[in-house]
Amino acid sequence: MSTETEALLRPGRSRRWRVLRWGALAVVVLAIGIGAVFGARLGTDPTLVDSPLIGQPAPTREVPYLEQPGAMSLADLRGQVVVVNFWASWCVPCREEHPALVAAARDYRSAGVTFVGVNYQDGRDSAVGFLDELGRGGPNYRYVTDPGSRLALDFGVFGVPETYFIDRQGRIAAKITGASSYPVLARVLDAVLAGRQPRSEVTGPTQPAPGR
Amino acid sequence: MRSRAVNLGIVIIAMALLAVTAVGLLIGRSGETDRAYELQQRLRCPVCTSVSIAESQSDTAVAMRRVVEEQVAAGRSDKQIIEYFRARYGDWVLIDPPARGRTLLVWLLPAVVALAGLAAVLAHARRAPPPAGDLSPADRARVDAALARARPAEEEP
Amino acid sequence: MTTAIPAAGWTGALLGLAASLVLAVLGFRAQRRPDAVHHRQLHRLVWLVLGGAALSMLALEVALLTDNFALAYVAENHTRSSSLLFTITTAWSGLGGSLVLWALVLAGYTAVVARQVRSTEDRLGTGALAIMGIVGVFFFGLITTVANPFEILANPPADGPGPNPLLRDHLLVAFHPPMLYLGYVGFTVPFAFAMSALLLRRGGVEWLRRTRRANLVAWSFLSGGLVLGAWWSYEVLGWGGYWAWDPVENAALLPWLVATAFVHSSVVQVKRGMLQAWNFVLVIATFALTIFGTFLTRSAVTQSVHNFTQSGIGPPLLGFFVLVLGGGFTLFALRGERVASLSRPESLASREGAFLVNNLLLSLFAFVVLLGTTYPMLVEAVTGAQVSVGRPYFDRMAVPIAFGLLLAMGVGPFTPYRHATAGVLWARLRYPLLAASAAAAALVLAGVRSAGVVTVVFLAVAMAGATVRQLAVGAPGRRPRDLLRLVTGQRAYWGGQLAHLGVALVAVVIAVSGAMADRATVTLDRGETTRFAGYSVTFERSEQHRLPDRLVTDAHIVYRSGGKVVRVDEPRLNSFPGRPRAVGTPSVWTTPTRDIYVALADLQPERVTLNLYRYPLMVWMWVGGLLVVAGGFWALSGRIRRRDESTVPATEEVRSDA
Repeated sequence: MSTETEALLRPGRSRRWRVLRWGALAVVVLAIGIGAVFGARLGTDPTLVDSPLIGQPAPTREVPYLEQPGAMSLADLRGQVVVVNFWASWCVPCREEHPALVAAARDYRSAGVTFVGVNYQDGRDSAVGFLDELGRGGPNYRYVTDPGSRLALDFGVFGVPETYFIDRQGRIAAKITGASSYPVLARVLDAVLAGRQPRSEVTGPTQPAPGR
Repeated sequence: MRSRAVNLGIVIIAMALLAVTAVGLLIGRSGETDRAYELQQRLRCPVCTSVSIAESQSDTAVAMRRVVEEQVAAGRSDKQIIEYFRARYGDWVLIDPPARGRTLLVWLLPAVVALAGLAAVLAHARRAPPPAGDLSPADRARVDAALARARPAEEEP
Repeated sequence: MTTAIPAAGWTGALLGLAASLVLAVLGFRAQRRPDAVHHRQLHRLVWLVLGGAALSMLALEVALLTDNFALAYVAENHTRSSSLLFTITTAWSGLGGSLVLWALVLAGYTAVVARQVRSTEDRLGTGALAIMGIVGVFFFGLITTVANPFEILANPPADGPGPNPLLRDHLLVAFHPPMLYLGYVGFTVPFAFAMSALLLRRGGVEWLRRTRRANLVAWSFLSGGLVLGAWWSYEVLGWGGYWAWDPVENAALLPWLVATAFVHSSVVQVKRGMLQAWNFVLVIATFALTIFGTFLTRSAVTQSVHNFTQSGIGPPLLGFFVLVLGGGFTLFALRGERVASLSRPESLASREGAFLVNNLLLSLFAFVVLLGTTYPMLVEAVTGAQVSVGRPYFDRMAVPIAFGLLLAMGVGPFTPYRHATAGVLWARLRYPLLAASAAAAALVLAGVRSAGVVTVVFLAVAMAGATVRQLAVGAPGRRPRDLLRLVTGQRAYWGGQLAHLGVALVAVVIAVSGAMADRATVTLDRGETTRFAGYSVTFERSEQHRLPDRLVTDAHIVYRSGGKVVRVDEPRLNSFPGRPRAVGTPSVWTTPTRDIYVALADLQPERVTLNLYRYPLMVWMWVGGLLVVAGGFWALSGRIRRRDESTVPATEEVRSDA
């Protein structure tokens, strides 16, 4: 390359270079931005998804009882506050939360709260065995099964345990994802009974599928 | 003269073959599509990692597939069926992001980048080439030598 | 005794850390003042880094083989009943151990680079060693802090749960991760040389020439790692597919796409002096994407097939990614002006024009994959809403880009440099086009009605035809020996062509196996028979086998044709003690024309639910992948260019390529 041609090409080149340089600096800024965005996401659990059903009418599909003949529908319980808990015998966190659910059902029976335990993708024998081992709730705690996971699909269940709260108007008021505990249950139930809008809670991971 | 005839022959035969292909593809299009399967591919399996319900063997995916099949059989439209799941699982369940709302950009940005890239390549190539004759005699000789070595392999037989 | 092994491993990691740190400092010093440092000092440091990494790896393996459960890593990832092979592979089945492997591979590459540096006058080389030292500091730093596999437990358990069940079921676990790492980590070398060249303000092709081998080695291994990963997914995961566009797969594909673009654009720079600035961009992007991919798969920011459990490794990886991208591009912005090339292609209708198109398409492909993978996270970070981007999006985006790439592969390598006339192109492509048209018409007449399949076959046949024609025309004679002489004479070009043929084969199989697959889900009682893919399929019985480390429940599936038993497949479920989930293993019956794939959806003693798939031509996908890797290594196998030769203006053959 002779010096003349270089001189001739110089202006065009430095203009082009300026574009390149700004481009490179834009990438630097972008990198820091992406870093910030992902940094903000670091602590969160990507497996948790919000429910769009909050405030919507609860599903009314009829489901058979687990341990007795017959079936029930959530529509039968309209006018009461209902706690719908999806559980399975293969689910590890369900074991943890079971005593809390039973205790809450006992304590809120006088307030007219009904609990419905929906057995999710489970065998009947192992489900009954689970209840035999860990104990059942009182008369206001109904255990039902969900053939074909239909009710679970209606509720948009991702895994177990998940717990939904239905208010007296039959609307889904709140959801707990993961194992519930007595304080969390009590807080949400108090709010629903008082007609306030409770906050949905994420308490931990759910287990998506059975270990056969 | 002969080579022109050969070229013409090749063009005609290739065109004829491609015409057969095109006609075959066009008239063969009538085959019925499996609507349920197509819908299942567009819904994300809630208990899996990044696969659709068509690809998963989990009980939940099986149940969702059955719901899709029933609703297809009941004559509901694609939109109604997708909406049924969206109402329960949110936008999350749409593994095929719709080209509107929050997922519009994911469709638009590639087009923008493609156009920008194309423009950059064209601009890069369009500029006047550097003047010829910028080779020193020594360079020229080297190029010629290299060309001479490469030629036998390059030429037509 | 129980603490001697972890102590040795820990010492090795610390040694590696310290030596990397000193290597970085002395390397930069040597680059600035070549007299101040003797190159033997650098060599010794590199040996220390390598020794430290090897000691760590060795200690980990010994701890695993001696069931030393005092080590936290062994306690978390190993079990006594594990077989010898899977005990060895357990060294990279967990987070800490996989980083030790990473550090070992990095140290190996550093040693290879150091061998090239024969004096500190080689300032490009000493600078590159310094950069590799910095990368080493980062990875040894991870091993000694947040992902330490050598932690000692006060109360060691008697036995552990063993590695993730998915990682102890198939031989591929022994090959897929090391290959992927050889690929991933290899891209450190071009990055280090590029940074060194920028620091020196030295453009030109020297850094490209010196990193060509490392780059091709890394590219070939990453290609192999990707293919093995797809194969593993197909053979082990049991969902009937090989590629799910899962974040972890995308994380490996992204650097491969950008590195492929770089493999091509570096040729343009070496041959024609163009795209210098662009090559810097690609090299920085490739390396940054390997870090980003590691971040995506190891930090649990996304749902993925094989996430490692939550750990403290996310923030440092993210920080390092920002540092690489930010630092690299800042340096490029400050220093790049000197190295940017002036020349431009004379016409887009030329080999360099085809290279430009190829680079555009590959970069676009990488952008689409990156966007699709990160978009849900970006949306959630900005708006809090949760959306998904999955297979339908990626497929729809990838198909047109893949067609464009196939077209570029069919035309590019047969186009002359500088300027191509229509006449030349027509002469080279007319018979291939004729063959391709014939193939397309034959497919349609044979009843294939998928436009995608026909288009892919058309493009692939045209490309293969043009390659064969080039071989026939270029060879000095017609004997096999002459052909061999041609392809060994221009290994780079013909290696590239071999890889192209492999890609075309893979593309054909992707199209055919996707569009012409048969699927069925059937529930069979014991002894019941159904028909699938021309066979009668019977569920004969189910058996349980107790193995040292697992309980296997299998289903005997018998295929009959014309009343004769032609095949018995045994898909099975593996339950491991201490693991809640049983893992299914599908069974694949492969023939050259098709695979029949059977996976268990549900298994009871008297009843089974099966997912059956028939994929035409499936085995050729792995053959195609092998061709790609073989092409890469064939291109590499050419003579090693002497260093002193690189200072003499290029006189090598004009046509050798890639």
